[in-house]
Amino acid sequence: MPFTPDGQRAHLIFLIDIEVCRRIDTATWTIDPINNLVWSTPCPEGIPSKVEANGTQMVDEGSRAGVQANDNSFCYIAGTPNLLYVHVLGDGEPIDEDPYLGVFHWRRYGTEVVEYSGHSYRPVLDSSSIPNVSSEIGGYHEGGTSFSFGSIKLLNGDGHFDALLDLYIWEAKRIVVRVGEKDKGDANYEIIFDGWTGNVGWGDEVVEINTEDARTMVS
Amino acid sequence: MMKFTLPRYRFSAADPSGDYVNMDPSAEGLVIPERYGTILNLKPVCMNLLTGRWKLNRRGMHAITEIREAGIILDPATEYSTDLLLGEFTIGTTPALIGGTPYYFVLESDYVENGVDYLGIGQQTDGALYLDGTCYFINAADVWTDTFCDIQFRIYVKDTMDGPEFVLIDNWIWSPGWNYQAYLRKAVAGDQRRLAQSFLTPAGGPWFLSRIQVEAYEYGAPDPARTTKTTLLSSYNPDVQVGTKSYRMENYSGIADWSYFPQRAAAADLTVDIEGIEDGGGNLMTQLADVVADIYVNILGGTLAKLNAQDLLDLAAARTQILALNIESEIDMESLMKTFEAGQLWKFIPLTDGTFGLKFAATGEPPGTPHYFDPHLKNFRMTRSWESIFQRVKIKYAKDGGDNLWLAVEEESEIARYFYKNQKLLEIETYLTDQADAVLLAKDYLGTTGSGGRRQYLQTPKILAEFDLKGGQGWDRLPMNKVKITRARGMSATGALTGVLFRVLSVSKKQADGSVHIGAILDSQTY
Repeated sequence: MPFTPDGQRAHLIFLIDIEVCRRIDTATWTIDPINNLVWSTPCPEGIPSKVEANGTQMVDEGSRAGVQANDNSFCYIAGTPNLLYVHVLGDGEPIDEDPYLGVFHWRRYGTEVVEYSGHSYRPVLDSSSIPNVSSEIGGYHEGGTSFSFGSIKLLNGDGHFDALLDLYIWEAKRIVVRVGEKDKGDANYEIIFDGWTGNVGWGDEVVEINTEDARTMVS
Repeated sequence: MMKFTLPRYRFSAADPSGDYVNMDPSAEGLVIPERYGTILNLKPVCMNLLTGRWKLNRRGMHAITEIREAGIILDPATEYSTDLLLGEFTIGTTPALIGGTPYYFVLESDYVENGVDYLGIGQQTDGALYLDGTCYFINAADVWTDTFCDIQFRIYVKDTMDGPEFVLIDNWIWSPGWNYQAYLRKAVAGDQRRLAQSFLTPAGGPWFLSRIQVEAYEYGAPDPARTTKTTLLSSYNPDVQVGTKSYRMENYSGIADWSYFPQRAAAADLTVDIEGIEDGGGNLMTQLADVVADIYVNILGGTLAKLNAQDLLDLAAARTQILALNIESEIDMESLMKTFEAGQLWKFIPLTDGTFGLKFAATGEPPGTPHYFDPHLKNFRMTRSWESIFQRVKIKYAKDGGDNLWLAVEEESEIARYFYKNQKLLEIETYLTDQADAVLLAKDYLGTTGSGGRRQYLQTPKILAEFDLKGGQGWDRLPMNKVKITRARGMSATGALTGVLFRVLSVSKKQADGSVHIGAILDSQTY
């Protein structure tokens, strides 16, 4: 069912997905005992959404053998612990800055407990803080295009974000905001903003994440 | 003080000192420069057209390293004199020609006379071609012998010192029988130690001699390092010289064709390289602490005691890059200080003891740093400032004294590029002179270098804290002070702040409720 909110009676739910990054070229790496070009490091977050080397996305080969055969590739294997395997250009050990490596995964927050597209959303999104989405273009002779979404607030009374904001890179990361009506299914959700995060503010009660329009960064 | 516009003094023909009565009129009202360090390609101001005196600096200076006219280096031994205590120099006298008067130009050089390697000057063997003069050979005993030939020449003059140049006498005729056999310093015996050509000026004048053209030919290989010059005489035996000798002919195009004479004119194309004001030890002043103190005391008129003495010593030890500063156009003290601060990462701050502090960030916890805990704090917030990130830093240094263009270096952060996708460029103007210092500064701004002790980490988000202090805390804090924070919660790897140092950026002391609002940056991001 498409998103067709029914005026004031509509029970709207907002969902926010932020693709945070953890820098891993500074992590500890272990060479694979079978594949001599493959190195691994723990990946407790689970399946990464992507892995980047020097800002370029690595190819997910799905297996260590595949990673061994292809440089600039990775695979994730769940276990104890979960491990991320990579094969970097030059075939060496990924060490500090050679190359810069980042592993990404989505963190998901909603205005209430909800499951969307098979993912659970932590209900810490302050519904009263959802900003308006604005977009505007000037005439050709005026130039200028603006897209803005303001900032979103995530409740932090339990300290959930205290260490997370330090552990991951939250700035300049993709943020997708969806809105939908309760109990109307996944197809009901509409994306209302797809851009980037900016400044991140921390407080005892609330974390505030600024947004930047999609043109701010080259992705 | 910060609104004070430098320099203080201006060129004026009406200056009570009388020093500028005969100055270049176009310089009226221009500021008299204050110059520090090594500065290249300066355009001096002619402070006395009659005496050929030029002003480079309001006060004494360390050295004039080179003067060039039209790009040709002048000889400090013979072609100008300096008065470093006054920041001035004097070039030679422009020969003046009177109408209807005979003159002699005399060519001389300094290469070894060996009969093989010498110059031959182009001459007309038919003496009837030019009737107003003749060529002389002058031997080692200064005996002049008429050759009944004429050197082929042109005399260039100006009606006024700054007027256009024109040919006054033109004896440039390639006649039958011409040759290069007016030899200069050919014979070991010195029979043609010098050459002279007489000429007669037409009625009119006076004129200012700008240059004389002859044509020379190299026989053999006369020393290329030779110096050939031309002297104008009004009579000989004894020689009566008019004005100053020409500049070295070999410096100009051709083999030895052009004898340029000094031009005591505002339009003279002079450029100068200097070393500016000296420090107290008679050395060139290049260090930040010295320059700031000198400006404060000797330009602004302040007293040295107002600058915190310990801070001056500390700054002198910590910031040792070589500087050069050319204050030749108006600039207010605030802009000047901003460039100083940005170029060497320090701050000029009024302290509460009546002195001015010269502060820079350093590691460690200074004595007396207050330690604040949860009960002292309210409204505690932290920010990771993505907006403060820069991907590239461009440092402008070694500003040219002539065209005011900068040299520049750029450094780029891959961390800012790959992890923060930030493409901003930070541009910093400095008084640095050395490329290595500029490169290090750029690295220090980004935080990409492993040394320097003054890194700013602009390649990653600034970690900022803002909070209010209760109970009378924080009233003694000033920007650049440190505070230590311990909180059960905070944005950190552990989720807490345990004795974390922050450097104060802003302080707002609120009389109404006795609280103090502080904005601060994580201390380890400031050096």
